[in-house]
Amino acid sequence: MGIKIENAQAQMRKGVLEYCILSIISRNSCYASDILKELKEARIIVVEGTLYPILTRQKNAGLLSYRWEESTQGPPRKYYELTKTGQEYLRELDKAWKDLIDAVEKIRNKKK
Amino acid sequence: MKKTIKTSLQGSVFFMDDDAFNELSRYLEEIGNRLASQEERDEIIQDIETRIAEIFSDRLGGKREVVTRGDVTAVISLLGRPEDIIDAGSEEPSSAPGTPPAGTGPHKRLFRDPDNAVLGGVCGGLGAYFNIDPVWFRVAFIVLTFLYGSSILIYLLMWLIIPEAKTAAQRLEMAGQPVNLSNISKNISQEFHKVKNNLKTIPESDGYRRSRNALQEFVRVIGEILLVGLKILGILIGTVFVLTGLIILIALMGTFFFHFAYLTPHIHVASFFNLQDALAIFTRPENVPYILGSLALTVGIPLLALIYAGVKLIFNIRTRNRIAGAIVFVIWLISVVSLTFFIIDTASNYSKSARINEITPLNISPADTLFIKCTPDKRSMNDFFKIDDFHLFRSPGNNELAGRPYFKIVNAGHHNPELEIYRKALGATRRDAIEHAEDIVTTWKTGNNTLYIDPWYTYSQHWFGQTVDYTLRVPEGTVICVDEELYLHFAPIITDDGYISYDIPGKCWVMTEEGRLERAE
Repeated sequence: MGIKIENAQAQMRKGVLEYCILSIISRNSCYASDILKELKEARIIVVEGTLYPILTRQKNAGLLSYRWEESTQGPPRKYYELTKTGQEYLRELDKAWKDLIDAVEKIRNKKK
Repeated sequence: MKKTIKTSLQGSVFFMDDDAFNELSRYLEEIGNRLASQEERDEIIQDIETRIAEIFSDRLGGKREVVTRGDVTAVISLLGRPEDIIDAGSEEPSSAPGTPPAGTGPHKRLFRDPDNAVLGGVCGGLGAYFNIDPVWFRVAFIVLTFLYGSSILIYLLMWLIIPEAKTAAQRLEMAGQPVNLSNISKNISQEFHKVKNNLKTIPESDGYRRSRNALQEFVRVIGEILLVGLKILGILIGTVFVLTGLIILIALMGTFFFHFAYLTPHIHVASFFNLQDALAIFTRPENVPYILGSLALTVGIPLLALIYAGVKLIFNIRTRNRIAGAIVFVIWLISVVSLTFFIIDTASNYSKSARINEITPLNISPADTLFIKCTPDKRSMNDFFKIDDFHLFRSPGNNELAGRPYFKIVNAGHHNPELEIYRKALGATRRDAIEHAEDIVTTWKTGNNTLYIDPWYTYSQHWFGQTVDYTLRVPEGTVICVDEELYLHFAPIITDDGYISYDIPGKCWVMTEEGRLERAE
């Protein structure tokens, strides 16, 4: 059964990860390692590699844009920020998240 | 001592040892293979490479020079294995429900589909491969049976060549990604990408090894470029093989079972001859089925082998069935040997020749003018067979063969006018040859100072090199008027001195002392 729990966890995380990434970027424009740091602190991400495909796809979907910034150590970095569509999308997700939590809580707390 | 490779990761340069380099390239390649669209792949790989560069810098920390395998292992455990990265993060937005998962990779193979089979699952497999409804292939196969049934052979051949999708993995491979232009170009560009990446790495090592390593690296990169070229070449050659094989096969099926086509520019055959007829005329009739069979195998097996090789090249099928190959080869050898036997046997029917001549005095006085005419020609020999100068005609009822006789006019010296008929034929023995010559039917008659000659000689249904020469001997000074019609029916008329003329019909001539014909007024 252990495998199944891991699967379920992975499924849950997957859905939420996209939302978390957008939320992080919405506060401040940031580059991949900043995002990773926060995701890791929050323990929502297991392996770093997962981030990159999501970023690229969100960018291609028009939710994100990026600019290049020079860095003191190493090569220039991609700084991501939300586009207008991205902001609207995030607002929708915020609402969906709230609804979801309410729904889950309601079910969990219901007395027999 | 270890070889190191100078590598550039998105602008940062690292020295990696051989193992580390190989592992990292494998890792990146595998991630790339899991990503469907070219655009996404390049960008994601770039981002990941940037991150890897960061991790390497951190781990080296200015204390070490060379990235080792341990560093790469650390990178992989931090970033995750390829299947973790792409499976976890990729709900591909474009993929509609029901389409195969992108994770099956770009390599799609041709299999027979046992779940979607009417006969052997060939059409089902082709449908899955080209992402087309298999019904179209079925319709094509059925329609193509009208091309002398060639598609039946092709179907059986493909049934043999194409492996059945047995395991789940094979079924996934069969479904794979649709083989279309963009995916093919993606595969090829993927290969080039690999080669390009290899070009980016600059081999580096200490001292005298340097040049040797550079050479090795160069050879490896060239090898990979050649490999991509070879794959494309393989598909091209395979297509040429299949097309050539099919075209010849279809043409030969037509020849074997239906009417003769033009085999070479020198062979002209009118509509009614087909191969069986021709063989029955030139060989023992009871051998015809065996000759046809061994001929079909002798020619057909190499053609099918050509198509087989082509299909294998195009679809990159790597099956090898030595036993079946050996059996087919033995069958081919047997058919070649038996065909040779039949050829020798047939040729032996023509080893001896014989000639019969028959002289008839003509009841014509020397002072008179002799007219030469054709008997009314009611037969139409539309059916004919011609190789260069060799003609063979067949009567409409198919019960006899016919030829055009030669006609010669010579000086009789002091004799009375006479007609000599030579009938010539070949046979296995001299006796046979004489018999065949006697079988030739020639008809002619005289009356009213006129010689009527049948423009045909006929013989039975088998060809034994039958020919007929008419020789007309007339004394010097005889006037001969040759009907114009003879021009249409006879080969050129030959005179005593070997002079061949097409001008003789339609005019009157005088026999000279030397045996030549001179124009009579």
